[in-house]
Amino acid sequence: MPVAVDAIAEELHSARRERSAVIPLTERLPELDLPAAYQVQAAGIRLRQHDGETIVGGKLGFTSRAMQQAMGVDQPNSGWLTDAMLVHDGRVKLDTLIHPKVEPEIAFLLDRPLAAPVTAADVQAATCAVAPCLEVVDSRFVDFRFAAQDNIADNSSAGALVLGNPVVLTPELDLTLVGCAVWVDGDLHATATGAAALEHPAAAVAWMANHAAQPLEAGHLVISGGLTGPVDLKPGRVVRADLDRIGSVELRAA
Amino acid sequence: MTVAEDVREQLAEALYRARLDRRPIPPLTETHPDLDLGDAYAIQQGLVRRLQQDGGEVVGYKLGLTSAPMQEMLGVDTPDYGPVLSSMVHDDGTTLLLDDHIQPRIEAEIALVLRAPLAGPEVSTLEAGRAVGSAVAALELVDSRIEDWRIGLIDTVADLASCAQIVLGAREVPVDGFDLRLTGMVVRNNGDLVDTGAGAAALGDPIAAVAWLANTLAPYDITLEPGQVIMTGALHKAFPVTSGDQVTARFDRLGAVSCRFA
Repeated sequence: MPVAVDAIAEELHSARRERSAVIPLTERLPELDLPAAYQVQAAGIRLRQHDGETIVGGKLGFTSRAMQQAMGVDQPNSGWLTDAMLVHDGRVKLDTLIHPKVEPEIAFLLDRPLAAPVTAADVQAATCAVAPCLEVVDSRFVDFRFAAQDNIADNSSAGALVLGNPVVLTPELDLTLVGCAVWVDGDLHATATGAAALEHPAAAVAWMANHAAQPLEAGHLVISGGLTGPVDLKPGRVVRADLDRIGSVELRAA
Repeated sequence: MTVAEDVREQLAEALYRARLDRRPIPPLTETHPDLDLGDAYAIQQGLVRRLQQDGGEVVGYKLGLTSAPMQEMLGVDTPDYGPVLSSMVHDDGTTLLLDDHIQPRIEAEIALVLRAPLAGPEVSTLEAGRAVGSAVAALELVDSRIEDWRIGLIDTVADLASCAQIVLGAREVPVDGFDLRLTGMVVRNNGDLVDTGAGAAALGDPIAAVAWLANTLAPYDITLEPGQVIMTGALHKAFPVTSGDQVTARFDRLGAVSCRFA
């Protein structure tokens, strides 16, 4: 039986707008496979575009081995970012989200399109700048309970994102070794390096360019995957990520 | 201190024997529940004297329990330290024998080398930073002479802060002009990525770890001397190794350090 792609996309779209989490799709629709899940994701993005939102780039998920093992998959996934997800003043409004969590990431700003097949080196050549980023992930499924297909259908848990100032990506900057420290209300939460994202953040971006149904375009922003475990976002909480030689980014839950 | 000197000496001897014979002993805190932190450091001194008699001098210190998760696991809010003896220090690329150990685990950390003497109390992070000359990529093999790593703070302090071996990278890098808190590190075993971390994992700042050490040693009238090496604490969760493993930690700016296990 074919999957009712549009109906599922509508359900997740409503779940997000009404901040009402739903039961994982895979618990109701065992026939939902990865291609169908990406079709649901694409239909969901069309709904957001119909609401007036514009695609500004892409995002990676499941980029750590720990997450892949927990999900029983051996590859990352991707989703799309829209302009409505960008938080410009660092104040993340909790009343627009269900159960948000925050992860530090390296964001890539592309000045050239990336058409498959591409390598990590191609990604770096097409990147004019990188920026520190805090991604607010939010699942439309109850208790963040999901299988890989659910997460893909749900646009890889995309919620919102806060960007720090971009810096030019120079060849001397080894993104695998760039250190990252995350502070929650001034206390250290965790540390990592860029290698936590699929061994190389640029390789994560390349994965999306090689697998996504739509190309990554010049001007797109791609966030390359969480580097540390997530921070639960609670009212008043301040989260800061410092990335060596890239800069800092901070958000406050409002 | 709460226990008699002969009891402390007896426990130092027991830990020394456990180390030599590779036979772990029950937690000291179970057999001697009265021990306090002063006793633990006194037992550690007894153990260091015995190890020095076998050859080796104090060339620095290691810090332990420098991360919030480790402190929470042991129910403490302080790090600990132990002297590093020259007999425990190895060059980059060395082969370490698992049979010489009981239940070893490996961790990567930033070693700092002092260029000026540093004595507490009231050493600030800023002052400690001035005394630190350079940083070195380092691995520490930790091991516990206490059964099944069932350690409390007192147990690990007495047991030389669970230190076994230190592997130091081949070059020192001056620490001027960059932030050790954000210095990244990727550790691999046989080429597979195991974990990543950055300097802040060590007490928020490896330099702050040096200040803590200087201040903690002050009551003993111990000054940290130029040339001494301070192991500032693990940047990731320690992991066990088996024979044939090759562990490499690569640090931003500091280079790599590796060792093999046989």
